[in-house]
Amino acid sequence: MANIRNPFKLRAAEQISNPSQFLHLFDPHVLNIITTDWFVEKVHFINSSPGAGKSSLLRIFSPDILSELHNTGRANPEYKEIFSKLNKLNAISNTGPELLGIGISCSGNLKSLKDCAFNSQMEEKLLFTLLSSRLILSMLHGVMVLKDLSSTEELNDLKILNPKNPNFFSSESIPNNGRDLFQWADNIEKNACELIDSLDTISDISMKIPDISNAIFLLKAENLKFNDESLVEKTLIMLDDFHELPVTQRNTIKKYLYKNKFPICFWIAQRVEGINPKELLCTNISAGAIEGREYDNVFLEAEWRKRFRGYIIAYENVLSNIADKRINISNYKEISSFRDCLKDSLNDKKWENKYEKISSEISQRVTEKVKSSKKYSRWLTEIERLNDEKESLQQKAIAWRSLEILISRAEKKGQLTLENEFLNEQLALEKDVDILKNYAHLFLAREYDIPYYFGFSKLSEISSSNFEQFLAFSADLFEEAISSHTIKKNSFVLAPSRQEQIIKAVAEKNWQEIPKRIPHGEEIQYFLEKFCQFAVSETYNSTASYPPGITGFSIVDDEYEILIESIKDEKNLGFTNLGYLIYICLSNNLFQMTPNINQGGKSGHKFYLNRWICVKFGLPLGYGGWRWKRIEELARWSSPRKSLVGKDRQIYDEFSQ
Amino acid sequence: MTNFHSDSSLNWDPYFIICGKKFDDFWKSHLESRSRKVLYILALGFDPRMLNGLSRILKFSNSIEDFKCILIKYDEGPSSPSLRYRSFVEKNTEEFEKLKGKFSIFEEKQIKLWSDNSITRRRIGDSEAINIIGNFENIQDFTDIIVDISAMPKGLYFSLIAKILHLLENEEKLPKKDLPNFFTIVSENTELDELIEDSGIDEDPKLMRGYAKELERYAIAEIPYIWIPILGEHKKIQLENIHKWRKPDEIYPILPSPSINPRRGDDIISEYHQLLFDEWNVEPKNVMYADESNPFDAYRQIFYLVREHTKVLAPLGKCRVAISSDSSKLISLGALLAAYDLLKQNMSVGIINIEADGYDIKTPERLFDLNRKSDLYTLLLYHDERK
Repeated sequence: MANIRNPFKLRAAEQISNPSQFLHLFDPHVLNIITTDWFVEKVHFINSSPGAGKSSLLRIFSPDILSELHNTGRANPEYKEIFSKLNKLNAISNTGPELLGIGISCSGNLKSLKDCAFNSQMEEKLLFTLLSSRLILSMLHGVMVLKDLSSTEELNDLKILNPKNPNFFSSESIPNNGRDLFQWADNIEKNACELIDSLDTISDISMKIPDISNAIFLLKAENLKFNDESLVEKTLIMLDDFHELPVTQRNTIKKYLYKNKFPICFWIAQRVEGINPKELLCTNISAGAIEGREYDNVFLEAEWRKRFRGYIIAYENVLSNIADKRINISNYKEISSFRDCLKDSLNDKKWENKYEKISSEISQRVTEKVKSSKKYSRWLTEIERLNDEKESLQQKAIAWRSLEILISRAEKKGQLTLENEFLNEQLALEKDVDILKNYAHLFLAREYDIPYYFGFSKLSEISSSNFEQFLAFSADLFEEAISSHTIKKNSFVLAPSRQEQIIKAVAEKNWQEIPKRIPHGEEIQYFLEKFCQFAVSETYNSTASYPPGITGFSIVDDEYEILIESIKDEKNLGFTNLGYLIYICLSNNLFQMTPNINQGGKSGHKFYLNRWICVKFGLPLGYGGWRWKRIEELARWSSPRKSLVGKDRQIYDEFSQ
Repeated sequence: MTNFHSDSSLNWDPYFIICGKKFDDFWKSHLESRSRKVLYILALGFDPRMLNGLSRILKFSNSIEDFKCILIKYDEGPSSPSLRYRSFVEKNTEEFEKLKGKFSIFEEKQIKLWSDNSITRRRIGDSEAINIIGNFENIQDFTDIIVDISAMPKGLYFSLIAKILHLLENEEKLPKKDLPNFFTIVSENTELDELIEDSGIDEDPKLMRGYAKELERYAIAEIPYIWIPILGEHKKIQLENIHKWRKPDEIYPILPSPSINPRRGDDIISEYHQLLFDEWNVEPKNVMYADESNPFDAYRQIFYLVREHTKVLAPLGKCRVAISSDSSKLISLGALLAAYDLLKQNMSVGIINIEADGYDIKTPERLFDLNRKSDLYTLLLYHDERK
């Protein structure tokens, strides 16, 4: 493997075509969320935000990766853990891959079928013709990889048996050896692609299209024999980018899969696009499909949280492993760990002096407030303890600021006369004290221009459970580290202030690119800006009322339903606009949604800002701080200049079908 | 200018292109040479270059027996950033109305660039474009067809031009000598181009209708994939999005050089240096150069490159090639011609494009002033006496 100058610029692992490089960069802990349930013979929907790792998860089960792992990985200690996990999932054994992954992407000309003016019957026929022929071709490509065949001629040794399934029938004569099957499928696909791309009007085209939709039955493992022996134990059909298809096509495919109950495991990977939770959760009562029976839904980010105890630390470790694997293929062998390049403390002389001044300033403020009365003796005792204890200057400054916040809260509640009970109560709750101190740390950073967004842990939080986002920030940080080393011959370690500058610059760049990259980008920016202004004012009020700070909002169920209905019928354009804005933010990973929450007697759906937006606006990175918001108020935050909704146009027409 | 070095494998060899002062001379003599029935197709937009070609051609309208004009009105959707330039469109419309008196027939064609306004909308401009001229009967009575692409999005004219060429080359009933000539006119101005930036860039590229079938095929997904991007300024996001679609095995970037701005090639390389050479590991020797003002140069370069690679890679099953152009319209025609010709010769080639929701003009007040420096080009794409 050639060394690379900045390996963080190699984006998501599925775009790394070299199997060896993919394996090297793949972190085995990602497989922890997969259980044997995922291989039950039904449809499994794998949902997540863009960049969360769906396609990488599919790729690990592709024939080229499993073959590479078998050929070179068993003896390689670096791949021992990946091998072991895949072995437990029965995907690979010491004799070779036990699973044949048959993967295709739904992006491309499948959706173009809708633009060809075919009648609906013809369109549906062509849809399944293309899907089936492509799955067959993918299977055959996979066999070539597993058996190390150099040409399709050698597929002659592959025999395809007739499925013993009562639902299987075919009006077409399907070849029963791999070589002929390849040519057959190739011709069918080629003709279909020519039809779709044709420059002739529809009436000029000969419409002989074979019905091969049932050919999917052939793909069950028991029907595939190579040199009269079983090829693999099981097959896995993987449809990626399912969200790219129009809703009608998605529904057609789902209905078809549920109805035929193919005895094969399907993984269908899609982005969380579509504001309607019913759509997200894939209920399709009209097809008689019930979650759990015909299909399962997996939300990757939620699975992370479920499977990893102490999610934040576990996720951080996964990112650290991913980063170090990339470091290993860089030109810089002197660096053993990316985490070490990011200094995570402010313990040098410059900052100690600053913290000393800060402590002194705040302590004067606090002491002035409480010294006048014996009633505040408990406060004063606390103050003296802070002066005596051998804590770092940073810790002392944070403690002073925490105390100041507590006093502000007490003042607001008129409770200074009850300070003993109040302070005891506050100090006794250790968890709250930690949150309070984090909050104080944030306040100090803002008030005294101290770096806040630095260190590997913060970088991990900023990545918002999204590997691609992590790589984007890391790429610039690493670039700075190696440039600094080249120019100054110093170490690769970046100072906190420099890290924060770079992180903020990346966040700013992302912000500036919103109008270019995202539809209705200016309106999105306006909405986000309004919300973030609110979040900033709530977060930084003197009493720090909403630890750990506001970075999200929730909408109650009733109002959420109003929002969905408004999108469909456009009776209230303000809400329709809002719905559209939230949808675009979700599908472009600007928001993260947690559906079905319950808090304070209310139930609804929660939306958090992507953490890079928190960096842009100086907000904290922790989760847990959000407010219930009426949709009327949210609607007032959409741009007054322009509505996203035109007159007499239904923007949600496909979802209504 | 014409080129007299003949290579019979090239469809456009010799080729014909004129510009500048020769534009008027050519059209005057051509239109006066015999009785002419002209079909002129153009699109309505905010670009001030929209009417440069039409107004110049109409100076010779007395020589034209019949002049039919088709005006394409394209709908970018209710939230396109371009809507803020409605006043420029109105200005162009006003000027167009003044010219209408010289038409024998006028037709408006409304086409949509988006399937609908829903959240899951898709781009359909190219599919709509091929229906502007439905079949040969719509063009058989003309002696000359002119498609003016000056204010037409790439998503329209690539497929429209392919459709007309397809109709002309596949017509069997009429003798070749009775088929119309087919020209394309473009008003070129790189300084003006610099003012107009894409806004709301699509994340996913689109394979253009008429040039998509080979790149969509799974059967040949394993054969080597080459990407030939014609480069222009400020298109980093577009290039990144195309690169994400399929990681190419080789990249052959084309720089517009020679250029009116002698530093243009250097500036473009400087802008994309990190992307091309650090991130994508493009070999410096892969960089090609094509004359900014002669699309036939880009056409030949691409054609020969693909033909050579197809020969060399034949033992591996040949190669697939995607051509993209995020540069000026004139040089982009080179990509169109190359793809069209290579597809006819059964090469696995396609055109990949990234569209945008609309446009953002940096200094709108300069737009119409700068138009005075625009140059008009005419390319001959099909000739009634060539074959």
